[in-house]
Amino acid sequence: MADNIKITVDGQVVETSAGENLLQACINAGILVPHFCYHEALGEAGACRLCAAMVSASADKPARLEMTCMLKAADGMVVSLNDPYAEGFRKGVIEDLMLNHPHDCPVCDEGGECSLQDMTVTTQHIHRRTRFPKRTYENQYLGPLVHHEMNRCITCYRCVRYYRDYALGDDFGVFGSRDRVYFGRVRDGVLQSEFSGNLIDVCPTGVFTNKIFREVYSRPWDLQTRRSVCVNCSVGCNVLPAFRHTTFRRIVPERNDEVNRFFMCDRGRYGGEFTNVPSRLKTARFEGPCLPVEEVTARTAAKLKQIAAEHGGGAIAAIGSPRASLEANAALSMLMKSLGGRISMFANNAERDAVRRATAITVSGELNIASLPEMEKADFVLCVGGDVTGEAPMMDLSIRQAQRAGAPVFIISPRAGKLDSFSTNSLRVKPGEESSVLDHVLSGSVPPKGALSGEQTDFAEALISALGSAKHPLVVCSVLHEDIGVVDAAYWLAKRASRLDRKCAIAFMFPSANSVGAALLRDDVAPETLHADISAGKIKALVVLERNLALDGSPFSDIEAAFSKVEFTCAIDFHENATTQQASAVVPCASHYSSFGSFLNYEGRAQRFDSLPIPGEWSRSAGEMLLSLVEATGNEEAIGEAAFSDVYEITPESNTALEALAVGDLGNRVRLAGKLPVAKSPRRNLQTATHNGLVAWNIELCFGSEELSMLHGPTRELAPQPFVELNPADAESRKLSEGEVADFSADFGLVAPLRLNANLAPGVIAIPVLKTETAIVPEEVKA
Amino acid sequence: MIPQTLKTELTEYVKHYPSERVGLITVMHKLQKHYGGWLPDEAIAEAAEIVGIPEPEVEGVATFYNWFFREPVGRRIIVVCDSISCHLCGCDRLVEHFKKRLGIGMGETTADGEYTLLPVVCLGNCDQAPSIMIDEETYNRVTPEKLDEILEQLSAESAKGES
Amino acid sequence: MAQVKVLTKNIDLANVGAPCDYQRYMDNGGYEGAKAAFAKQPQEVQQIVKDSNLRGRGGAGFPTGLKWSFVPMNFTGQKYLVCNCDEMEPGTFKDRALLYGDPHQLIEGMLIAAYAMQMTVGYIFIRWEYRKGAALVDAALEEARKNGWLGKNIQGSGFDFHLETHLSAGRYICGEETALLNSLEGLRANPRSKPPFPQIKGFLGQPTIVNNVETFGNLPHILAHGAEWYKKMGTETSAGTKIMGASGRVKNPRLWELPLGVSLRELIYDYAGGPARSGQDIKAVIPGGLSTPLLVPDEFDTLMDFDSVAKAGSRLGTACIIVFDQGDNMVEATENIMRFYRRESCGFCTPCREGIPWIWNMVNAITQREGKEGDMELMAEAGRWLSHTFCAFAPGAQGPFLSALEKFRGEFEEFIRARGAA
Ligand SMILES: Cc1cc2nc3c(=O)[nH]c(=O)nc-3n(C[C@H](O)[C@H](O)[C@H](O)COP(=O)(O)O)c2cc1C
Ligand code: SF4
Ligand code: FES
Repeated sequence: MADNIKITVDGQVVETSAGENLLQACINAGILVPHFCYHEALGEAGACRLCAAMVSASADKPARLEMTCMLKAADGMVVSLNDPYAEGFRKGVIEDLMLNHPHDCPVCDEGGECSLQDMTVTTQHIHRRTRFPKRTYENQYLGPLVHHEMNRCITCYRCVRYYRDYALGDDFGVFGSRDRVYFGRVRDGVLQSEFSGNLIDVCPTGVFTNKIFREVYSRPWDLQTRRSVCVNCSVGCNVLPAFRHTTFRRIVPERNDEVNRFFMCDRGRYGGEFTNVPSRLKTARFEGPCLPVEEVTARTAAKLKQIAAEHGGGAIAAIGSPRASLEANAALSMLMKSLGGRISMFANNAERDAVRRATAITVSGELNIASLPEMEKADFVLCVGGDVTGEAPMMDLSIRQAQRAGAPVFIISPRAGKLDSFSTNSLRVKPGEESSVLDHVLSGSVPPKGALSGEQTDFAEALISALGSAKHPLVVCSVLHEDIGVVDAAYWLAKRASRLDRKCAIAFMFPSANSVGAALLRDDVAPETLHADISAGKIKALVVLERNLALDGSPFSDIEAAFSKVEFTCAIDFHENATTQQASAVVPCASHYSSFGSFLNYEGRAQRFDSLPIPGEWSRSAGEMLLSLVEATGNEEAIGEAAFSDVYEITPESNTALEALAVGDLGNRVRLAGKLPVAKSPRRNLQTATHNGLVAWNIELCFGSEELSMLHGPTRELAPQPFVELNPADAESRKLSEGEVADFSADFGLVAPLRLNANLAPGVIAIPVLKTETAIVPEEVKA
Repeated sequence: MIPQTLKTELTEYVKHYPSERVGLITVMHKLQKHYGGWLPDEAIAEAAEIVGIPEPEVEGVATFYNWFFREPVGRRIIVVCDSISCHLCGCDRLVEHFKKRLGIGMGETTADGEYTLLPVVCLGNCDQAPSIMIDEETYNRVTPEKLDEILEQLSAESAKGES
Repeated sequence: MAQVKVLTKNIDLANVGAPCDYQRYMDNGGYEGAKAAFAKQPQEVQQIVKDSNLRGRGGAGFPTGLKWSFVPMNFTGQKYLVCNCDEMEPGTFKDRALLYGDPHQLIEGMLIAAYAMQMTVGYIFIRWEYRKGAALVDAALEEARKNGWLGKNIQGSGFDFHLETHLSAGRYICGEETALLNSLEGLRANPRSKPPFPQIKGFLGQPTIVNNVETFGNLPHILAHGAEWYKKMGTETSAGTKIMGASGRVKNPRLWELPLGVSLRELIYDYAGGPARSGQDIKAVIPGGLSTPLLVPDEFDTLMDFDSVAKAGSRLGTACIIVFDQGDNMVEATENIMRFYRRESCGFCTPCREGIPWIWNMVNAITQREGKEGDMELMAEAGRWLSHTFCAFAPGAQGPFLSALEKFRGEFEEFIRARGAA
């Protein structure tokens, strides 16, 4: 550990650690040092020259004007920010920067959160003293997310340091020189990084702004915000969704030092536009007509009670949602309990098994679960069985930091993703074969002849040797491909790699924002069991919570067929979709960013999210709606003082922590109570079935595969059109060529343009998961 | 597209360095020569591929240095030193003379595409100021009269080259 | 003081002409310095250079031996030696003569340095406008290789040295040694922050020494004749000879090799022949390339060595003087100077990128008789901050600018008063 030292800043004694960046040490002590180019995540550049102060090594040594960002704190240092010479210099720097600034503040979309404006006022550069023409630049089209306004640039180089050096994007750069330095792309075009939106936050002025937000611009101080948690993947980045009156306007990342810290991905930043989806449900319906919500709740409750009375509780079932809050799923579970019904959380058995196994590993406390900041410090990374960029984008950004710091990155999966371009070693295998390669790594013994190919042996050997010298190894494993074999292999590898002197961390990428919460629900029924009961006509009433069954790959995807077997169906959701359209009763609820509750992220970290109170009964959270349903059944007694640990498989301590959890907390990880029962299942999941010599592999895309971000907004625009991919060798043997429309309807139920991909394992057909559903505009909105 | 032989030559050339990127500027000079004195978009892409770096990195280099051109230039490039010693010794007069004779100012190219006129940083001939350079040739103590001779000689050369 | 012929023993500075070829170089005592070096341990060679008090000829005058001593000798990875032949500083034309006139002297100097620091790879970084000179060096490198002075196991010493030329693409900032390293790596030539210094982390992150052409040129002679011999030339703190030059308003602009410590007056009047234009006395001199502050006639007794010129408030720099006479307008000269710095700024840090163009705008307006009252104060204020930039480029602009503003204030004010007269 670094030694604690003392420095003096404007007479104030500040404690810091030796070698800490001097500017950061001041900021940590709450002392504002004006700066632009320094950024906690990006480090110093020394370009803006604004952080100047008089600095001396000790009180008896002469002071010099220094850039605080370029110095390391040392014991006894004396820093004078308010020295008149330093103040004069900083004012001069601002004056220099403002010489060419357009002064378009009244119409600037950075207004109110502009660091340049703050610094200008801070340094008291108030009056313009230049009389010369200003330079101007042409802006570029950078795609649907980020707007470019180069005239506002102050050349702090943060954008390129972020985009190129930090996020490793390769389609952005710095051009020109002298007093014409330009930041952008070589030519107009969509920014290719999944993390491009962070340009908006790293830019201290308004060069890069949120293109969606600026379309219907509000002054930031007119926005209302509450701290929330991103719903678009299982990482759980902290965010500040902002509303003007009752409309959603934008999302910015919110700092949580144990989760996302400074940044977030574009899917999360722009994926919240579903809040404004035109198909927003605002009225309740019961068997046709629109009715007041209380009316629908009352009739639904009556109907459920009647069915329970007639057919017994076994005739009632509910489908919960891995993207609904712990509270909403708990309320649904309690509703079922009070009626004697059952609840099912997952799409299919394979997913359920994989998610529940990964959850058990995550919350058992046996292994170290890596947070994002811990991932950045890993000195060895192994990614198993998925595409990190598409499945947990911010994990990708963290792994890039580990890679930048020199960690070898190993990837084993059927198809190369973006992270593969930074990997040390990438191995392509057929789906499911990840585990057999890793099993051999595990055994540490020479695999029997022929068990592994030469390529696989080389990968395994390189992996073993890199793992051997690592102090902070990390295994990242996908659960989205519903392969429990892969989950187990990753677990065993991390477990075996953990020794006395080092622990191997592990992290699973889960399918949804609250998958871990869903997996911990007690008494969850397997989907195929429920489906069989529905098909057999045993289920008479079904309640569906925030789930569009058409898109979740469940046996209920043919909603019409499934619902036709059920006498009464009730859907609770915030927007009209194929499921609500088929339901007998529809209860609207608040969408995520207008809702409050808790999620368990991939670490099992409980995080509470909040919302603004938005008027209108349709905007009560799903949990509240469900509680009123319980109330209407007259069973609120049954719920009484129910604790989270009654509903979820968590320890009483976790329950206490969960109840005490407040919005804005760093969050705490829940612990498993007892053992999560995981059904014995075959090692091979459904996908490994071979048709026509090909195994299907789902491509999980950052833009396209996540349901909510596909409902509305620019993230939908960024999703590709359907396609299929084959390894060139497979295409050749089938006489198929790049770009042609290939007919795989017999085996895989699709016809789509073919892409050849040499970075796809042979014998695999890769199919993007595209959760597109034509938005259904409710009648009352159309009118 | 550049000829395969050039591509192979350059690809081999950059490999002799401890890091291929060290060869970037030389590769760009050679591509610029191949493309008639400037670097079209295609050349940027070629350089990126040869050296194995993203295009924006090449563009960043192409737009930083004085001797890389991202727009077409004349067949011959005339640079006039306008640094202090040449300034004292009358380089402005030369620039005026170019304007009179060729009809172009600084940064411009003659209509026939023969000459591009550019200022240059001190050519290291300060004792022989004013100094200019046309392609590889340096001319010292240049006067308007001497300039006429030089240009006549060059156009005679060009005429000979064409016939 | 009389001219000497050490670095220029093979060069006629009045007319550089064809380069000294290998044969002539050898006939005139060539590679004797290298031979002497190979007869010693690398550390001994370093010590000799340290003892010689040789100071860098690139402008800053940093003691060469001291600079070398920061290279970690126990470092087992690749170390690099780089020659700075960017020479784009206006008014400076000395390295050109050494490069075109005697390439073997440069090669021998680099070989000695490489051996002293056990660096096996070297590059000669040459500005694009000197590409003909680079071709001459390439030919000399070939001769040296053929004769066993480069390549593997040089002269049976067991030491390898691979040396090649590298052409730049033109930017004055490339002369700044860390910007040069970026440029050599194929990057934009923005300077790097120091620390880490190139001696520890330089080219491709490896220990690297960058020295000027003339600095290397001294080494064969120091090694061949010894530190004591060398120290007898020049002054106590500025040992040796220096290629000095004069350009601008002098009768006899050219280069001379002179012992350090010759007086500026002697240089101007005796060597350069005094004012070129009759009836126009010399009124100012920039002593060492454009980035050094102006000296005026009552400072002409200053001696041309590192410390004396510094004491006079300027810098010896490259020791190539630029001379102005009474007929020259210092406002217009300042406009030219600031135009140069504006055009050549790398654009990395604020005061340089924005401040210099602003100052130029004001000076330019003044030359157009559009100056305003208050411009002097504003220019002085903006100029003052140029000392706190990321690299030494802007301080280089500040020197001549502030000295012109101070020493020729009257000329500026006259132009401002003449507002609207043009
Ligand atoms: C803007 C700028 C330009 C420079 N140009 C040159 C140059 O052209 N040649 C040179 O040798 N040194 C130049 N220098 C000095 C170098 O940074 C460096 O000090 C020198 O090459 C070291 O060599 P020396 O120790 O042999 O003098 C320049 C410095 C600055 C700040
Ligand atoms: S460049 Fe500057 S503000 Fe920026 S942080 Fe540093 S010196 Fe500071
Ligand atoms: S000033 Fe023109 S050659 Fe030096």
